[in-house]
Amino acid sequence: MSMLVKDNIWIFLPAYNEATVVRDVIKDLKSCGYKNIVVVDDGSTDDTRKFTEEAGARVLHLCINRGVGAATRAAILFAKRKGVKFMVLMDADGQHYPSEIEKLINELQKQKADIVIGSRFLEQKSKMPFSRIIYNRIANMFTYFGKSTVTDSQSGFRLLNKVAIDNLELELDAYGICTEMVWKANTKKLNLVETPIKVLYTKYSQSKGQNLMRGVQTAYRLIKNRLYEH
Amino acid sequence: MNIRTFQIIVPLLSVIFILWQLWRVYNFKTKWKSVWPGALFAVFISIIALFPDATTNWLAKTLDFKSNVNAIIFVLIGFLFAAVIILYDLYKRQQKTITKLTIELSLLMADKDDVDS
Repeated sequence: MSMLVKDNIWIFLPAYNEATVVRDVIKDLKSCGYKNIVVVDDGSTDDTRKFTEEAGARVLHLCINRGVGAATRAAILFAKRKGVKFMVLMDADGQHYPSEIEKLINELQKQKADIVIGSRFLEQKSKMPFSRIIYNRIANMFTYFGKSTVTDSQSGFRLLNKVAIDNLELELDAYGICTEMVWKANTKKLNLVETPIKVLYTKYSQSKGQNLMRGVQTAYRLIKNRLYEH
Repeated sequence: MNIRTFQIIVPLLSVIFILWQLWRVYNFKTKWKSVWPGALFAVFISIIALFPDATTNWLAKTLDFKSNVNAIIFVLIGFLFAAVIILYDLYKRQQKTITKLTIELSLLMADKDDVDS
């Protein structure tokens, strides 16, 4: 991947109270040659914003905590306004490897895709905790309602091209946005593909993210959102 | 027929409530959609207040309750349930608005940062 392409890629990290790790994540991204890094600070109460600015990345600050979905929507709208050609969404807790962004780019170019999702289940050995495997399998079933089949609907590691950025109009505030994006991509006839990724599971990253209770809430919101659509 | 105090107060309060709601709709402070559940409840309560025995007996007979008190409790729980659903929907709408405004504000701040730099 040429430097020209890397300059066209904007990395967005939705973050809520990630002061512990955000500097390292930005440092890793910079060492991989990415310059356009935006941390979407979802109303953090710790020093996420301060450390992000110190690390030399841009902050898109939501003054109230509205959820990862709202942060993702803010990122997409920001990208739309800036005319961004490629945007990468990745978790700010350090579980995604910046070096794997190239895999997503290559897949996008190879398959002429609009959205590439980094899947944790396409590789033979996933080190994902068992409870999360079960959760993700159930969550994947919800994508079937949108007539889409993906192996990892809940992955936060995604690449979107300009067509996807301009056409996706998402509505949910919380984790349901992952499934909503898959549904809407199908509705808007966007080409969505997956590529295998590795994920680093630390105690810190496992303390974040989704759990069963949030999963139930997400499922409820998705069903409600779907019913209101028709 | 002896008119009791509550038979005056309840319909009077209901009329005042409905007129107040109509005034709000007329002045674009609210919408018909938000007004009708409250107005319906006020009319219902007024009818019960004006004709307590006839209404509750009719309700008990229609819903097959042995006691008219049970029937009225059942119907009022129904109203309460509907009110919870309506209020929850209203709450979710407000949440959506807050998110929309928060996102807009963050984008405006980003634009301002661009202009300042």
